[in-house]
Amino acid sequence: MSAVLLSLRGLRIALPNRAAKPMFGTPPMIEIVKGVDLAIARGRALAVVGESGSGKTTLGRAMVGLVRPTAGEIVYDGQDIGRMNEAAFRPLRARIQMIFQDPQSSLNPRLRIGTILSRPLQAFGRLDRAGRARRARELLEIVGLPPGFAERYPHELSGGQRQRIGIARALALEPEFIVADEIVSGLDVSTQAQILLLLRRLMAEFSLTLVFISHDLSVVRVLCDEVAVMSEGRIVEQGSIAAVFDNPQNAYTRELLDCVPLPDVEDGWIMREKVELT
Amino acid sequence: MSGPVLDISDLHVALGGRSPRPLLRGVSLAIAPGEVRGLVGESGAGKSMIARAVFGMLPGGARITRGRIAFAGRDLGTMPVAERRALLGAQIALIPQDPMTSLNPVKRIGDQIGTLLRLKLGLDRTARRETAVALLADVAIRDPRRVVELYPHELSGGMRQRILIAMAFAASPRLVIADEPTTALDVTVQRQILRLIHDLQHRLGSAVLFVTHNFGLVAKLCQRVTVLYAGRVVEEGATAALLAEPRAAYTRALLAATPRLDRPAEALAPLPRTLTDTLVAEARAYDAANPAAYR
Repeated sequence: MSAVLLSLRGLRIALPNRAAKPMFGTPPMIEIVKGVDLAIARGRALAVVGESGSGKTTLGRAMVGLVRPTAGEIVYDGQDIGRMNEAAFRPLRARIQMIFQDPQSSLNPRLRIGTILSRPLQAFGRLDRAGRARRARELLEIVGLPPGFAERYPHELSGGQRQRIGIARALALEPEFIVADEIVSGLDVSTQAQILLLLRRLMAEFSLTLVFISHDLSVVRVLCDEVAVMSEGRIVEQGSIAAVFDNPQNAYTRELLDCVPLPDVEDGWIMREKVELT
Repeated sequence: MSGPVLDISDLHVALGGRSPRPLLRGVSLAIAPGEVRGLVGESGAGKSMIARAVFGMLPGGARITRGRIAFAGRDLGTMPVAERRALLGAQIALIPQDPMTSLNPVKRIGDQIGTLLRLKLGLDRTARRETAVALLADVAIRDPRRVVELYPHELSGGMRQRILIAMAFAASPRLVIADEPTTALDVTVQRQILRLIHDLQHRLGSAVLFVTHNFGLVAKLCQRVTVLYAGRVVEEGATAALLAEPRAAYTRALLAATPRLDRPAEALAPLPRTLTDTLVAEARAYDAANPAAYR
């Protein structure tokens, strides 16, 4: 078994530019990811950080097969998933999962939590009805929620609890690889800490490989081993978290890090230069 | 002028009539002229409720049941409505949380600023146009003559927030309430926005109440900070001292639960459930002992 689980080679992705869509006809394509090379080793947590519009979400969606590349390869465990048809990709789908940013809109409001958690199992024809219900309760326990939550609806839950459901659903099929896109951005500090520590525990418990997409650099440090910094569709710097955060080589990385306000009083931080207004 | 510009004392706000639900439980908060005060708390702590109470914009069903809010020594509650309205937007201004929904999508930027200038400063048409351009230039918007002709959707989130800041400071207010003004923005834009608020408040001598959940922003911008939980003031103090040696267990726990760029994972500790349970129990005990405060 190779140490590398996923590698991106010369990856380019173009998407329709809806903002420039003419009233009739098809919108022009705009390149979002402009040549990315990246490798993720098994059992590691890689952070992809960058500002809005940097292409980090599109990159993450490509990793789970939700977006097709225009050029380059997405090699998952030895197979190029970027070129695969749906039927060939299906067995891999169970092993690759995504947790979405907004648990409010990614959970069907009309389904009970128990049903939401058993849907992935149903889709892959795993377990019988009773077995799925049992598994749903088990998943709730794994993410630290009482089994009784299976009977509840998403709107009865807090933001943090809903995000736990999102995590539980991603774990339903016992995946080996998870892409988490901005999953703690809307949460309070205390809830955020709980979710981050939960993810860390789950990674160890289930030998998961994680890609954690975030604009918040502080959050990333808690969870990840490595970091890739994205800007305008390219990765400008990557390496171990400690190396990149403590000794950034790239000017953009330096600026990004410098802009994060640490909770220490520091005169002159606000006035520090390299403030370019556009 | 030596008294506080904003003096909130023993403020109680409750939702509903027959069995009212307490939202604020005796909050006292005084801001000196020119002071920048941080107001920190998690969602539901009541920080936005304080801001809304000052503006007389409490959500439906919520009302002030006890306590008072004084602006420059005058009780906002007993002041004639017309007088209070004249203060808002001029002497007391707001920088809202969401720059995307706070501008009118069908009016040009220049016209929106113009309306404010007509209502609050009584400027004529020519003066309004010139002032609007000058205000935009003030918040470092390049080519302000072009921007006044644009509609909100033609601008980025950072640009819109700068326009809202320009509008908030337009009438040299004595108090600006900034309600999580950088939540939706990228970190590089966030620093630009903080810098603008810092510059303008410094130049005009306005006091700022900066509502946030981010201790980092407080550390960089605010001289003093008030920490809120369950509608009560947990702790208040000078920013440097409070961050270095928080007195309240809740403040300590909140800081320990905040992920830091410069610290590895091991340093992170989630808020202990027993602590928040205790605080909620204390708040309930206070409610039970003071039922009259919410009637």
